[in-house]
Amino acid sequence: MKNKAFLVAGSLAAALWSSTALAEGITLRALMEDVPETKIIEDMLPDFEAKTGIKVEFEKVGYGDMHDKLVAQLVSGESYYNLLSVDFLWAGEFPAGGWLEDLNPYVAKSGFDMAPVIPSMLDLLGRTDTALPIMPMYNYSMGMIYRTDLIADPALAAKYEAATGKKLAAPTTLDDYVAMAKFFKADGGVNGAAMQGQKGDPNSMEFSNYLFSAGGDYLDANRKVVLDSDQGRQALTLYNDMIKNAAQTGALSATLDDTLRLMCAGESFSMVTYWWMLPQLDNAEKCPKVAGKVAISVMPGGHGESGGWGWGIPKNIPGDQKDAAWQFIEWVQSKDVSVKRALQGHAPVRSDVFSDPAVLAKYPFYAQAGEIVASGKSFPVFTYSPQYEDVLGTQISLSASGDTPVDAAIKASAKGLEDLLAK
Amino acid sequence: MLRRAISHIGLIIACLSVLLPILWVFRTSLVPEHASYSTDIFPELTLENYRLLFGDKNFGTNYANSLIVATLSVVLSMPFAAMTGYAFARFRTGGRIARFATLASQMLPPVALALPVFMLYRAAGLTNSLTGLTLIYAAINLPFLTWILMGFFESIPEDLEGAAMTDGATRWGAFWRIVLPVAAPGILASAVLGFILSWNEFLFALILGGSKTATVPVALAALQTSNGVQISQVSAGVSLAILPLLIAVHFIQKYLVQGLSFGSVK
Amino acid sequence: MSAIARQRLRAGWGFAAPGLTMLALVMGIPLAYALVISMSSMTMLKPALGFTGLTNFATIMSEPLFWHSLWLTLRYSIAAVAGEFIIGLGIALMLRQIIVLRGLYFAILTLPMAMSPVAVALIWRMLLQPNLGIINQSLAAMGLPMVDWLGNSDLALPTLIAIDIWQQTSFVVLLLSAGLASLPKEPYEAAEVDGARPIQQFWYITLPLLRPVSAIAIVIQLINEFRTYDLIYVLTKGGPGVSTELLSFFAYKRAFQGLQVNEGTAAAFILLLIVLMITVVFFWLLERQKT
Repeated sequence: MKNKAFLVAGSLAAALWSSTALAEGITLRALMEDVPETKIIEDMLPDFEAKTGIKVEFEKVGYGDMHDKLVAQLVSGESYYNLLSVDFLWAGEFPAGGWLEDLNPYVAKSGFDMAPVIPSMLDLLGRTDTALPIMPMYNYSMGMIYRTDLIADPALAAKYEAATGKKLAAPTTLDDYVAMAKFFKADGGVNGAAMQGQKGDPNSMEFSNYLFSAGGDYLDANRKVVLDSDQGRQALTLYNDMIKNAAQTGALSATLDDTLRLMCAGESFSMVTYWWMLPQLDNAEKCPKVAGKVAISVMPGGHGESGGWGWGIPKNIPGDQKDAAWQFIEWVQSKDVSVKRALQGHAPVRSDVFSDPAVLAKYPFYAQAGEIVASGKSFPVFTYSPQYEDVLGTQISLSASGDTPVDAAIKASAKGLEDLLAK
Repeated sequence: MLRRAISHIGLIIACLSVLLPILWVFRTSLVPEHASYSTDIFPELTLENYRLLFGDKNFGTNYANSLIVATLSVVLSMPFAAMTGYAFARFRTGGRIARFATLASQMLPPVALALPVFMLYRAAGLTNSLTGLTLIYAAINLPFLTWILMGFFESIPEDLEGAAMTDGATRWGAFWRIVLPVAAPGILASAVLGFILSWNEFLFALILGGSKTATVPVALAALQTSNGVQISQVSAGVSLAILPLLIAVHFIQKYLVQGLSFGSVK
Repeated sequence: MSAIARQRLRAGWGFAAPGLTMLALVMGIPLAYALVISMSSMTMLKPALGFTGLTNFATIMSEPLFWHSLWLTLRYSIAAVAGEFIIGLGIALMLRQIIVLRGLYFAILTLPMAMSPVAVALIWRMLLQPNLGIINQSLAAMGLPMVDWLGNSDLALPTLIAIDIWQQTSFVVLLLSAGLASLPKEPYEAAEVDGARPIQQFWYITLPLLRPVSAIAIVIQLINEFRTYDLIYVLTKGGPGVSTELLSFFAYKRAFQGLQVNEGTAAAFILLLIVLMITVVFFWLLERQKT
């Protein structure tokens, strides 16, 4: 009885196993995040297949798991994934490991026009004088989303003016922003800011906005660590102030998911986040409480954190698969396909898409988005960027919960960066 | 009488602490994503989450994969576990070293084994296959199941087999026909446990598998997107994921919970 | 050696050989490879295996964060196992006392272990969401303050322990119920005849007879708790600060984030050694108590 069941199960297993064998022709396989961007491209894949006969399969995994799975494939042997989607935080690590093909020869051979690709995106993704390891795919730079209805509320405006002597308007400096956020939490009946304070990527990304807008930076033009500065300390002090007096309860364990839901529920005045969160919030079906009442601006102070994803071709695959991968990259990043993607809501990396009339007609806020991308600065991109996010994130978390004073936290963060750069 | 009442009360409290979160999960599976955190019990009823899971996300395949791999890995490892557990219990085979070495293989955090297993399996052609996954799960189950069965065999007095053997049975015969039936509760508990261990395993399924061989835990983990957690779909997935255990427990519980009237129940 | 002893030895190895061989092949080889990695210079960037002896172990043990992680992990594991065992034993015993609804209770109480740790983490994340989650909302509705379960560095670890206990107790219940079901009738019948009271029967018959299964339940749970990783990864990433930086997560970060596979693996082996020592000591104490 047991044997029969085993036999049936065994043949089932064998059938499933053999069906995963490679199909005829080339199939491009990529690990992708499960985000709207991926869906937009996926919907267009049949066009690509019809044009080139190359099949493309997207396997969707979460961000952290994606990194670990990819690294295992790239370290040795032949990578199962022959088309790579690479986050900017890995744009130091992957080239350092020698895992990515230089795309310059491919660009030259097929005459791909690199001029419209936004330079800050190229730099973000590891372009050097000698190599182009990653072709930008989409960007996720950060700005401030805020509630226009709360700003326009006359009662609140009166209270604010009485308390501070200033008019209630979208903040343009960091100090204004902090004061306004604290006001809203104290007197406005909403949280001042939905903050993603969980240690690691969430708080490192958010803090970077404060740092850049306070006039500070991680590295100077010579890649020397300049985090330990008055601006750095000011940024952390303001950040801690926000966490304590303007942010939601539990901010120190909050991630993007939490802040998005909070903002969507109408329980926060503002949120420093990736700019394409705006369409998610300004959506009558998903967020009825705030649809039509939100807008985005550059991070008060003028500089937000840049981010983005790009395409790469692994070195450890056969040549014909590399060519197929390039064909895909060329197609998906062409102006034509990029505009089509943008019309679906994708976040462009080409300046000609940001200024395309059809795109601007459909999404007027892309004008602000264009500014955000152009003015964005970057978290240090090098081999150990993810580890630095952990180091920095720990210090910020310790400081925000009062366990470490600002000075010590900034010093430790700066030293951590120096140590990792030297590693 | 009083003891029974107190037991009922205690069990009800325990059941509520288990059931309430699970019921809330089930409720969330029937609510659209944007209303998932609403405090109303049913802000909107929908089957959208289940439809999305099975339609867009291929959950049906994941579920089938999990079922196949979990079942086969138990079927594969149980005989070995029973025999080795018996040897450890009866004959102290290999002494303390063998016992602890067996268990020690499980003391290493799986993350340290991820890369070695991946490289070895890739060389053997076992990646992206349910066969490979079944094999590694059987190997993961083996130490725990061996130890659990060892414990059960130790509680069975050796006289039972002794009597059978003086009557002419071989050691194997005594094992098969006398010891195993008496150890039935332990065997059933181990089978359920082995199934659960494989059903819930995540890291190896992630590293060794591809999109066609993804299991339920991998599918659920992928619902943590950079756009937020699709908690309603996660809830739907979890509601479905507990079904096999529910069914298994229903069938075996009479072997596990019955026959406990040793004079303490009056 | 006597003939009987030799026969028993052969019989023993006859039974154990297939299982041990399979284990050696499928688990033993990767384990050996991992050990080699822990004593090598292998990183994700330079995967060549150069022998470095015990350098990685020394490096790891020279870091204060490692010792902090270890201490946290010990506290976490012992608290979780104690909670699971006591509550699990209580539930298993209570199940024995009743007849009505026994099946229903049992089915419900064994449910949590059917959920993968990642799923459990995601669900509790939803329930414990500090602003919108149902638990805090219910507290607020009852006029109680909302609790910052995972964002307060003093509460985060206890919250994780509670979640772990919530899930893992069901396993202990399953195992101990099976154990109780296996108990022989004779001692109890004899005790009845002698007029022993139920509490005496429990203390002098049930508990001692349940020892083997209890010991194994405790050891297996200890091993599981020491390896806790998914809850941290999904819920806190080791924060706030470093208040939930458990050792398994530390090892993972070293290998996959710091790219130092050699050091991460070394940290993992240190974990293995510690768990092994605790297990050996535990059983040694158990043996001594028996005699």
